[in-house]
This record gives sequence, C-alpha cells and structure tokens, in this order.
Amino acid sequence: MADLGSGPVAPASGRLKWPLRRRGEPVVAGPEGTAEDIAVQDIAELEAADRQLPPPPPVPMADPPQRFNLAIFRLVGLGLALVLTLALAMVKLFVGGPPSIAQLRVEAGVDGWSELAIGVKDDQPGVAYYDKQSRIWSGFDIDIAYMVAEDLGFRRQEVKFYAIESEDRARMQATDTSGNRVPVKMVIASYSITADRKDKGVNFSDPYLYTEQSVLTLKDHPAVATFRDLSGKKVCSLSTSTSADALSQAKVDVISKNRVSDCLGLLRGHEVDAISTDAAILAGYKKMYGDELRHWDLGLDSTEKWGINVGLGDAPATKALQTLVDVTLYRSWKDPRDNRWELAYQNNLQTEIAANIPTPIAVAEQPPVSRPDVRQLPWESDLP
Amino acid sequence: MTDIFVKGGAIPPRRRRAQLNWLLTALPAFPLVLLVLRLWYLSRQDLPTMLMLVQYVSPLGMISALFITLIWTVPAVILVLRVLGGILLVSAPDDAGRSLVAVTALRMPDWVVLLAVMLAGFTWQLRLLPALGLLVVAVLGLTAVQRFRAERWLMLWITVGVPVLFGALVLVFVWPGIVAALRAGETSTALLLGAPPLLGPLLTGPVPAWSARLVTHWPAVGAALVAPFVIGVVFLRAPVLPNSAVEVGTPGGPVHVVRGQLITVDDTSNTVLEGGGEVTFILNGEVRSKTLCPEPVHPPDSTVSVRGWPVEASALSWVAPTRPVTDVDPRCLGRPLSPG
Repeated sequence: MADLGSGPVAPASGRLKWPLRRRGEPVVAGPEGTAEDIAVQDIAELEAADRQLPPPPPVPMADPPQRFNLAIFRLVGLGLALVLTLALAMVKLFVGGPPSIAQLRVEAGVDGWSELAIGVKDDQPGVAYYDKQSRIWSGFDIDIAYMVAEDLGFRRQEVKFYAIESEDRARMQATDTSGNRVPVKMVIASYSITADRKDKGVNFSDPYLYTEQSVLTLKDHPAVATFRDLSGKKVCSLSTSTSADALSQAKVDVISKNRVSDCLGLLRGHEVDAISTDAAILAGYKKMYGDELRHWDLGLDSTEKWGINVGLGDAPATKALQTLVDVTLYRSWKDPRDNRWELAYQNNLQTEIAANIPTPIAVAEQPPVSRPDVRQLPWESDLP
Repeated sequence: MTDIFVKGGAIPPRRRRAQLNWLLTALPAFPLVLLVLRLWYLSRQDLPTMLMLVQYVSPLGMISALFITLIWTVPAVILVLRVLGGILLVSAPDDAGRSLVAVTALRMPDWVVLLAVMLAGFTWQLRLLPALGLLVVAVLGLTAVQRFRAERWLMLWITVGVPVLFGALVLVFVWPGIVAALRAGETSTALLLGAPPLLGPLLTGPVPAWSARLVTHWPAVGAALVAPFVIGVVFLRAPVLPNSAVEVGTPGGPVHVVRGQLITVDDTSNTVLEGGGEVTFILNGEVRSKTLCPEPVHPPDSTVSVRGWPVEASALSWVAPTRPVTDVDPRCLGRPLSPG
C-alpha cells in the first residue's frame, strides 16, 4: 500500500506507524536527516569534489540544424490548398457565367423606376378591362401584370396601367386617360408571339397563355366552322392582328379596326357579319352579351401564344428585362406552390367557359417555360 | 485511498491526473443532467407530471433534440481549445504543462481538428463562418510553429501568407454583408463578419511569455465555467415533444380545441401536456381531429444577408430540404376547424 518512492527515509514520526529503513543504500541526508547523516554526506561531497575536475564552461545551446522535413511541406501545401480552394470557389461562383437576378435588375434599371408603366388593353372583358365608373382594371392580363410587377419588386399601387392600341403594341406607346402618349416599360395586351413580329425586333417573353382564333357573330348567323364559311362576308378584325392575315387568305372582306370594342359596335349595328380574333378575347364579350351573340370554334390547329413585349431592339436593358419576366413566368410554371397564374385563369377565363360552351377559350394550363439562364448561388432558391 | 505525503507543487502531477480522471467521468453526466432538467422544466417543476413525462418521453427523441440543438457547440469547444492551447504551447513551452488547455491541445489528434472544422462548416451560421476561418488559419500556423523549425520563407507563408490571403478572400466574400449590416445598424453582425479576417495573422504565433497564461488559460477557464449555462439555456428552449392541437367534442356537442404537447396515445385516451403545465387526458371517443402545429418561429436576430445567404442560416440548412410553414391551421390558434 505505502509507496515511499525515492524520498528520504521517513523518521519515526506520527505520520507513519511503522518507520522503514532500507539497507544497503548510502545514507543521503535530506532536510529531515539527522545531524550525523548530514555530516557524513558533507564529507562524502568534499571527497568527491576533490577528485573531480572543474566543470567545463557552459556552451551556448545552438539551434539544431535545419533539415529537410516533409511534414512542414505538407502543412504548407495544406495552407496553399485552403487558399486556392476558397479562391477558386469564389471565382467559380462570382466570375463569368450567366448574370444573377440582382445583376439583371441593375442592367434592366428596374431599381431606378419609381413605378412600373404597363400597356394593356382597356376594352376586353376578361382579358383587360377598365371600368370607367369604378376605375378598376380587371382581367387575365391585368393579373399577369401584377404577378410580373410583384416579382420585380413593385407594390400594387406602384403599377400604372395605360390603355394601348393594337398598332402601338410594338412601339410601346400607350395613352393615359387624358389622351397623352405615355411610353410603357412592357406591354401585356393579348399580344401573340409570331416569327414576323420577332423578326421586326419585338422582344417577347415566353408565352403566358395559349389560345386560338375563333369567330363571334350575332345569334342568328349560320354556323361557322372555317374561315371559308365567311367568304364574301364582312368580317371585322383588329389591325396588326394575326387573324387578319388568315382572313385575307380566305377571300373575306376584312374590316380592320384598332379596338375590338369598335368591331363589336359594328357587329351589333349589323354593319359586319362577324368578328374574328383570339377566342380568349371574344369569350369575354360573349359572356357579357349572352344570347345576343354566338361564339364559333374554327377548325384551326394553329395556336396563338400570348407573350409579354418588353421592348424593341437588342439593348442589354431590354434583354435583361426579358429574362426577369421569364424568371417570373418560369417560377409560376415550375413552382407547385406558386398558384398566381392558376388564380388569374380561374378568376377571369374559367368563369367565361360556361357562357361559351362548346367553344374552347384557352388552354387551362400555363404554357411550359424553359428555365431562364440565370446564375443561382448554391444557397439561393430564386428558381425552383 | 492512500494517504501519502508527497512533496511537490500545490497540486502534484499525480493528484492533477486524478482530477482529470474525475472530470472525464463527470463529463458524460452533463447531457443526462440536461435531459432531466429539460423534463423538469417542461413539467413546470411538478414532480408527478415529470415522472409521467419520464415514463413516456422517448430518450431517443430527447437525445435527437439535444443533438440537433447543440451539435454546433462541439466543434466550437474543440477548435477554441486547440487554438488557445496552441498559443500557450508556443508562447511558454516550459510552463505550458501546468495548463490543462495546453495539454489537451498538445494531445489532440489532427483528425479530430479536421472533423471539427468540417462539422462547423456545415452547422455554423454564416455569421460565424469568418470566425471559423480565423480558427482554421490559426490552427495551421500554430501547428507549424509548434512542431517545425523550417526555412524562414516556409514559416512566413504558413503564419502570415495564408492568414492574410485567406482573410482577404473572406473579406471579399462578406463585404456586401458588412455594408448591409452597417446600413441596417447591426454593428455586431458587421463585427462578426469583418473582424475575424483581419485578426487571422495575429493568432498564428507566440505572445509574450509572461502574458501567455493570462490570455489563453484563463479565458478558456472562464469560457468553461460559462459554457454549461449557455448550453443549458439553449437546450432548455428546444422543443422535445411535438406541438399539437386536438379538437375535442362529444358527438353532436360543441367542439373545443386543446392545444399542447401530445405525450402519448393509448387505447383509452390521448394525453396532452397543455401550455400551463397541466396534463389533460382526452377520451379517444371525443377526439374529432388532430393536427401538428408549427413551432413558434423565433424571429431572426439579423435581417442581413451576404450575397443572398442570410447570416443566420447554416450551410446545412440550404443543403437540407425544408418545408416552408404555410398557412397556420386554425386549430393551432385554438379555434375549431369548422366552427358552428
């Protein structure tokens, strides 16, 4: 149990009951040794000192010589790897590649706009309609405009709608309520994407609605199944409208107006026999006037793809805005929780279906949108 | 025990080792104490309630909660010990043996440090990552100074070059965050992001020998004394039982909602611990519906984000899938699902 180690032999004291004394060892006196022990030790030390030479002078300790050590190079390499990894990761993330959404916003100048001017139709119930009494804009295009504006960071009161004529859609010049010409930042006005318009420099977003052409007549008109059924008759259409081209091929007497409401006035005044334009536009009138009108489905397989015009030309700002709008459409299409498009359809077009049976109005699904080429950092989730 | 009188310092080495053994024995008891304390806290200091919780609450669930809540503290302890001990070792090599901090740092295997760095990289909030970078470059530099006596340019690279370059890169990355934090008036966030990259080169070598113990050993002791309280407070707030709402009502009768934490369901009743700490038994026949309620979200301390990365999010949180909390169920607010 007791381990006394190499300490001095303990004298018989109170701490240990049985004092031990080792034999055969030189007596070494400690602080507690007896006077006899100390004297013996002193003599022994003196004798030893006499025999020994003086100790050599102390030599300053030199650092051990440097020698090649692989471990330090490993450590140095580790430090280098650390710095390089961080540097390369940052270069990969922030240099080159497509622009980020923040860069696109700067490029498009969105952050400098105090309000967002959007050109829309004002006479198409269900698509874009301005009620002069209540001063409320409503319709599918209006809801899509609010959706885009929301993602661009504009609150509802910062979105300004201006009525735009069909011919002005490419020029993006709208009219305010007092008749002044107003340039707008984008046009969401039942504007079909065509190769011809693209060739002329119009920058369309991806499509936000698929619809088709149809014909609206008074209720006593004979059945219309193709444009040929209208040959020789007077048909009103919108100027610069896609349906005007098809009509002229079918030897129809086309009367072009700038506004669908003008066409409707002619139709109800029996001055024309029919109106031809996109079904989504005509469906709203059919619902509004009920039995007075008939809405005919045409046997056309061509699809009208409505897109958002963000400007003419190849300016970087326009292209950036185009990508930003596409990002919104892509989000709405891809993200199952984003139901803004579905609500817009449900509130404006779905409600017209019953009044228009059996004529289809539009495809009840958002058109697929390809993923915009936008840089997304690993921790961001802007694009689903 | 032996009762031996041994000469030596205030606490001789053997006695000191014995103390360390006791510390290592007591350390695993700390999580246990935390778990029991958590239940006591949950039962509002009511012993019968606590005993019932002990009966039903799964230890695995508690340990999961403990793990998820406190995982980030493990690398913090390891890395801070390694850096403080390393500084003490290179500053006062002869004296360092007296300090447990230095001994731990000397004996700590390199792979432990590596694992701690990886764990911290994933679990620490972004605002702590510059500090992690500081700890990493400090460990690299201190390791070189402590173990090697190489050519001057090698030592300069590892003790000055790496920290300066690394700090510069980190600063480039967090710069937008610093600007945003200063604009938002969040000085602490700006300091957390901006100060560590600047301090890196200062922590890779010795400090004056007379001050070494003062600036390394004693801060570590202070932190060790404070840490249990911090960890305890963090963990006592963590939920260990799911928040639920149960609609209760006899058939044809009025419906009311009981909100609380669902302890268990057996063949006769649902046992719910309500917010005030009282236990309610609801007969199974009276349960109309049940729902899981989201945890009340702790509002973030900081609204700043660095290049789109919120400073309070960890890398793990953007790697792992999340379920965004959508509309709050009316039952979680104490209202029946279909009134009337």
